[in-house]
Amino acid sequence: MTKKITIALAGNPNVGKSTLFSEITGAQQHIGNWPGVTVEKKSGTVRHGGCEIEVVDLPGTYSLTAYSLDEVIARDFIIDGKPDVVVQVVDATSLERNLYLTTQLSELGVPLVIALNMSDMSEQRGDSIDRKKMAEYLEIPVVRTVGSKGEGIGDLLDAVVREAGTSPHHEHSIGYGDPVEAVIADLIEALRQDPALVSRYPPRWLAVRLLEGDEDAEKKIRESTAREAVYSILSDIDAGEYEALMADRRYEVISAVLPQVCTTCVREMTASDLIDRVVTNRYLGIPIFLALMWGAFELTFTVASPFMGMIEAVQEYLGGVAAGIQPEWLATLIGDGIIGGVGSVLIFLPNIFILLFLLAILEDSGYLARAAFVMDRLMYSIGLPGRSFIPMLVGFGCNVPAIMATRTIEDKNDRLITILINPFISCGARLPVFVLFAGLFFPENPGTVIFGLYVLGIVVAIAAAKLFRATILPGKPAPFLMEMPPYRLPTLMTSVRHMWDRGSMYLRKAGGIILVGAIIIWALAAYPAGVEYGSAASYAGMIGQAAQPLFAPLGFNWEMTVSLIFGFVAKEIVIASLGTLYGVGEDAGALEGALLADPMLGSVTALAFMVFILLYLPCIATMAVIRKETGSWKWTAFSVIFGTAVAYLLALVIAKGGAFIAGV
Amino acid sequence: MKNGMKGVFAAVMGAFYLGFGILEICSTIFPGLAALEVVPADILSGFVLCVIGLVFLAGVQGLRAGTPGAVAYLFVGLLLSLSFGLVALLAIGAGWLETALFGDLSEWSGAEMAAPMLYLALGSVAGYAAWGREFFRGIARA
Repeated sequence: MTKKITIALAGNPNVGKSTLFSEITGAQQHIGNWPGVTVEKKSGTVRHGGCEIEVVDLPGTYSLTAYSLDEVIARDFIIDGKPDVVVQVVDATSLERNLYLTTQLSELGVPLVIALNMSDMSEQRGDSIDRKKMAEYLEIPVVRTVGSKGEGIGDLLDAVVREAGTSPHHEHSIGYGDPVEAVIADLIEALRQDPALVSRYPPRWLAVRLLEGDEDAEKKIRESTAREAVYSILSDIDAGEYEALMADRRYEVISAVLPQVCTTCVREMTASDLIDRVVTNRYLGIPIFLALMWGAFELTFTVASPFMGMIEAVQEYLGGVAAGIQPEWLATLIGDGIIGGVGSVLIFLPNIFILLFLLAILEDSGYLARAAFVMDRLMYSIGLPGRSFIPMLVGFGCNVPAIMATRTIEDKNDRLITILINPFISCGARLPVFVLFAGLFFPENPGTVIFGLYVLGIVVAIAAAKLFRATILPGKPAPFLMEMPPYRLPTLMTSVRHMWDRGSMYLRKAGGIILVGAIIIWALAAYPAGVEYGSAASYAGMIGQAAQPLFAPLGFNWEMTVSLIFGFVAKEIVIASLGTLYGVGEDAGALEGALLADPMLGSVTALAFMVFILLYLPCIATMAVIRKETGSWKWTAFSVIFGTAVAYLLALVIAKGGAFIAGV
Repeated sequence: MKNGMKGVFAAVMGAFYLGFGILEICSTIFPGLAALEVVPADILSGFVLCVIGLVFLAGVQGLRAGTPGAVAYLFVGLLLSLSFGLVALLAIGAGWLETALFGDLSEWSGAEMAAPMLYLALGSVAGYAAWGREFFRGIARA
């Protein structure tokens, strides 16, 4: 009679698991779904050593916590599906990361075989892995495989058949140190009050999961008779602290085993390792990140200044040429409307390009991946997954690709929160407003003010995330696993290309939507026929005056009000419309003079205006992408209303607070 | 002896950076201090100086004790110090260019050259000249 064996193929993503699965099963595959979910389930059969082996390909996971659907599926199959053997496919070129899952599979007490896959690549780079020693240390059979070439499949199946016939299996446990072990022992004792539970799950494994705050394990306990005893133990401990301690201990064990089994896998510290030791330091990491961001904004403001002067000079020259054009309406259209409107946006191109260039350098050097890692702790503590930080960083350039970048976030609520807070991250389009107003009203420290505004955007985003998590979108964020690329010296050409890819969009916008917007604003400022250009009697003036009472508490005049309304089209148009409404098209420097001369505008109002621009409703393109990515008008409307309400509230606090302080 | 030198260097640089950073921050709080014009009154620039100082100082004990990897703090401290020195230099250069293009160059005093972020970086140039190649060879001997 043919013996039937079921094996589960487990492993990290991208370790060649699917290739190995295809090599083992050949054409005998069946593709379906895991029960109750739409995650693909692949299984297949093979005959080997007189046995009929059913192979089930589990989703790729880094660990066996229950944070993601893939992890839950993999874990449930191993526990409830009771495969005869679990084959962990390990990437031989990345042993340290892969062995973390091994430590967790060992704790489950299942018969385990390690397929040391991609061994050819590991050998090519000079690694020498002693499989015999590795098997001795881990107490798990280790087989060399190269899935892409079909090497080692027979040996692997031999080991599977051998392991399936071996019984009983014992759990391979990691010692977590006396204090943790004492709590584990208490928990095991408590769990034994429910014999049905401990017969289904290994008690030590369940105790470890409970200590690590595993929600799925807690759910099992809620229905158990051991509930009260377990709760009384758990109520005295901080699960977050234990989770970190135990993860550290697993890595310690891996670090101890690795040098014994692989002579070249443990490298000497490289320059990359040295830098990482400091920039990912628990206490120094975030201050270093903030310092580097300050440096980027300082350069953005100061280095751009002479280039802005050059563009301004060209703009003045073109304004002079336009003034001589006939008829007069065409001269004002070109001078006030196009040159004044579009020119007042173009003048800030040096700032935008310098900021994008510096971000490209940080990204190309590999530092931004570290920044994401450093911020992960903070992100997690505020209820967001570490993956959310990448879209937030992209948001410094433009919110549209940033919101699209949230597609990498699997959890629906995590993703929705990240989308909703992204408009608070100051995109490049808002920079011109900050540069103009900070330079005019805070001439001593404009870079500091701009940096402060960016930080405020981040703080508001964090506060909003925490609020959403606590109210409308509850849940626990998924952990963040990210590989750190080695540091590279960025090349000038690559960084310039990245800068151009992202920055050229502003040039296209200047020739498209901003040009159209500037012409519309010019028409609204120039008509009805015969009115003084940009005066209160013009259509723009009428719109501004109708809406201005709403903004009067914030200290905004009607010109600023109109610019905010048009800013909905694109944030750059705020400056373009101010340039048009103040009628300074032919003299670029005159907008600065006009703003300074406006009696309604002081440093407090300027700050309130900048804060309002930073936080109020997203531009039309961002709104469209929010609608597309959330698939909901409700969430789009929520984003618009919430952002504008927060902007109004904070601007009001600044306006009233500033007036109060000035009064004192 | 060599590590001892690194430790002393990190301690001196760290103390200078931290001291000037605190002075810059305090100058924004106490107008009397700002009036002395020893350092610019800039809270964020002061914060950056403090961060660089703390990075240097974090490695001092390890360097003296010969802890493997402690040299990382000296290495990153030097990199940060040189990077921000470059930021200061570029900012000053841009100011000079703007004056040359649109103002009167005779009015440009070069007073900004007195920024601690710039002159403290000169010390790091010396440190980098002494140990920079060693770091980039990827050797982590503390």
